[in-house]
Amino acid sequence: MSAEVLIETIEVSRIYNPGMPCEVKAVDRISLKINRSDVVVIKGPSGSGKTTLLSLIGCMSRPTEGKVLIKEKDAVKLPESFLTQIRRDTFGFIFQQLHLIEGITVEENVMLPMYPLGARLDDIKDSAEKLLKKLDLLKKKSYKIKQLSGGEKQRTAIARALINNPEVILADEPTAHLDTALSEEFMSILYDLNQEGKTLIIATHDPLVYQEPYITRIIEMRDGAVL
Amino acid sequence: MPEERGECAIGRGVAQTRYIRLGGELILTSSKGEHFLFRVTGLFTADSEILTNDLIVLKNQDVIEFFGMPENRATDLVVQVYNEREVPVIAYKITEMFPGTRPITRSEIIRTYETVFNWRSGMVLAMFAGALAAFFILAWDKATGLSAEERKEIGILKAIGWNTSDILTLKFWEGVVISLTSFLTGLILAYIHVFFLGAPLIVPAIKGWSVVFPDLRPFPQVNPNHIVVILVATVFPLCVKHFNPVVEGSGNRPRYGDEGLRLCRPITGE
Ligand SMILES: Nc1ncnc2c1ncn2[C@@H]1O[C@H](COP(=O)(O)OP(=O)(O)O)[C@@H](O)[C@H]1O
Ligand SMILES: [Mg+2]
Repeated sequence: MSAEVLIETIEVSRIYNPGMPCEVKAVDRISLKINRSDVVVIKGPSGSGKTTLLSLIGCMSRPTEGKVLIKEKDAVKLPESFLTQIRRDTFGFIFQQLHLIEGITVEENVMLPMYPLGARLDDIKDSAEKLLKKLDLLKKKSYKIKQLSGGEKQRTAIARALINNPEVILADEPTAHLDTALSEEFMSILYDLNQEGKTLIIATHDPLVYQEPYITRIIEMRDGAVL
Repeated sequence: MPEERGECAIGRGVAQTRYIRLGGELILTSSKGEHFLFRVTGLFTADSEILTNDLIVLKNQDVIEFFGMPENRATDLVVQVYNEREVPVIAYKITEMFPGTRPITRSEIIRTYETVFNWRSGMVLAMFAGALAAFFILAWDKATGLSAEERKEIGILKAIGWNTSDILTLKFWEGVVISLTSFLTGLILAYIHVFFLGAPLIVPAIKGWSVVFPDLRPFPQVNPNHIVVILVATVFPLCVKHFNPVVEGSGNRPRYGDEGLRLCRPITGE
């Protein structure tokens, strides 16, 4: 039985500042296939193009060349509004810098991605509370982001990534700001999510992450290319 | 005006502090300790209140007697001139003949009052101008683009799946709510200040610091035209200012990079 291919990149490249002296081939003709429920780690030193590759996979930026297929549909040529739709239906992002909005509460941050779907406010609230409960944040739901500890912030970011029930979770250096205990906690949350069938793509150079036994595949990058 | 000795005309402030009505009696004590009684035959109307509130008018002889002045002494003389154009010449001649006197012409008096009131309204205007300047600085600040924080927020929203139109809707309502709230707050505060507290901040500037304050109550008047003008002049531009740079900012694609999430201009035909 062959697994369903969820994401495919074909000879995809991303060149910053093309034609200029400071031209950078951040991603250089990479082809990959990622199956549903895979746990993929993109490993490599800083500057090797992990973040850029994640953003291409997540339809956050368009490749200079090549194709990105999401469920066999070519995402590269789609207009912006369709891309936005793919982004929010398919992907949940956990950013390296978390990118939570400081001025509002934990619950509001988690609810944010669901507003544009046009759901009823009560339903959005319900979904947010379920997730906050699952991630042990219910007691902190009315806290402002700056009142949270590092681990709580991280879990808020996870909750926000999950609220639209995405098929794929993209995480960029998720353990960079966490100590060992919190990193392990984070990885166990990811494990649970994978058990529920979610596809995980994690960019990292943290051994604690890429040594996890449940990882199905490690992609090593250097200078924009896969080794 | 008093017709006979023993009569007087008084301003409203005097009448109120002494609890006298028209036809009542005003008792004054001179510097020597003597008491003088005057019947009130005239009361200045409210129209001239700002000028006459603390005024008492007596017949000549009563004044002379009350202040214990010599019979033939006067402090002020009124000279009426039929030909208006003669006034400066006559004033000049008076100074020549009586070097110790100072003639004041009617036009000078009018000018003096005008300056006094101009000075006061100038003060109010100065304060008002300050507030106005603050407002425009704020509006300008909004108009000249997004702060780093706002850029970041828009970037985050885009990255988590918000469309440009979703963000515009949000920012538009944000603008409406902010400017309407501040408009209403300002309006209510101004209303309370003027109609319930009696405008303590501007009344002194308008009526001056007279010994007996005229009881000047600002006349409650809400002019719908003014409100519309203020609304259009403040709320509308603020809304637009709030909204406008967002159009610019959210047209950019989110970029998700090492230094955090940035918005950058499209590089290759995006
Ligand atoms: N917006 C950008 N403009 C120009 N160069 C960039 C930009 N973003 C990243 N780069 C460059 O692309 C290369 C890959 O960066 P990145 O994908 O962030 O790597 P990683 O996440 O593995 O550290 C680096 O050399 C980086 O300096
Ligand atoms: Mg990176």
